[in-house]
Amino acid sequence: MQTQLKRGTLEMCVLAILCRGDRYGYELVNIISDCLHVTEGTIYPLMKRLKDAGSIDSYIVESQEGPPRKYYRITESGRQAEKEQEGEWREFSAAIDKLLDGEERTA
Amino acid sequence: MIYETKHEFMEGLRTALAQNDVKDAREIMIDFEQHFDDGIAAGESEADICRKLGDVEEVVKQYISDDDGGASANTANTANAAGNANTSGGINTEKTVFDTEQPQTAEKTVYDSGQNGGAQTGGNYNYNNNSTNTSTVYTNVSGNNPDTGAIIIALCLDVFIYSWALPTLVGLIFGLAGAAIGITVSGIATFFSGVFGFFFDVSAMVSTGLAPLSLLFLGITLTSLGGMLVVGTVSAVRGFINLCIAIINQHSRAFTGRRILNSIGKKKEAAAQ
Repeated sequence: MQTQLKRGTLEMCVLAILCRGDRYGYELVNIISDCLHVTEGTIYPLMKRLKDAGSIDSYIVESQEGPPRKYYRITESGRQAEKEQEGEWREFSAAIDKLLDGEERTA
Repeated sequence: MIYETKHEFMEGLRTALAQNDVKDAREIMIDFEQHFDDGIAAGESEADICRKLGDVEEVVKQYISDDDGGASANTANTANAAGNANTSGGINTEKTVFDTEQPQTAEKTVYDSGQNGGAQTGGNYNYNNNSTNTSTVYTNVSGNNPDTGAIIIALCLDVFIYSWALPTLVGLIFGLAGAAIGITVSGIATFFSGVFGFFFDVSAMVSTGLAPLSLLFLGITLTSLGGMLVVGTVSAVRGFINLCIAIINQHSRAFTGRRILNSIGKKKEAAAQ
């Protein structure tokens, strides 16, 4: 169950992270895996999916040391999607919290 | 399967991508290659990076479910569920969020059909493995992000570069090299004629109007001057080569979004064309 919950919400998390600033792949993977136990390899397919959907965009940054890096940035439609999903998620999780805490009896 | 080294992982990934006929295989390879390079630079071992990335087949399956569009439905499901939680209640929510088997089945089907198709197309990807060290360049061209601005700049620069800058520079460098060689050789010759004149035959030097000792010092001066010019010429040639590489890279960046050469003196290895 935990795996599936993560799978469904990971896209939203990526969008939320990119809303706060552009990131390159390795950096993004580490931000996520610091908080969630994920199979890191699956984040790249997810990035591609978001890119194909137009929620994010990528650009190459040249570096003096080593090869160029691919950075991801959020698009306007991605920002919009994040806002919607985050709102829905917060409502959802508040409702679940309520149920788990048994607050529905007092309501 | 979980691999132990970057090389094994990349080979496994390439094979799996080819077998399943995944689109944009090159770009995917570049993503993972960069992941390894960044991880190694951050001090992680290749084995650790491989372990955390997980099963290659599993990763490739995720790319296949992309094409299918099945997996992206998950976010929508979560959103639906969130709405349902408030309006209609728990059962519906549970159904939507935790109905997990369906996307997996879909992936499985696509995966299988992909594998069948892959038998014919497998091995078509141009996978250049020029060296075995960690900085291997697996793919040369990312194939995206051509930058219009960069192309215009490149074309404007070209007119200037080919019509004036390069010919002038080549001329200057040849002139410099000629002067360097000429002055060095004449310096050495003057030096030795001074030596011989000083020790053996003063009358032979009369025609120059200079005393042998003066000739000796003139020779030393000229040789030193020539040496400095030689050093200057070498550095000018290096600079010229780096300029050419910069021009080539600017073009490469403009059209493919990727450098193809490293300047000399920094890294000798360059991704082959």
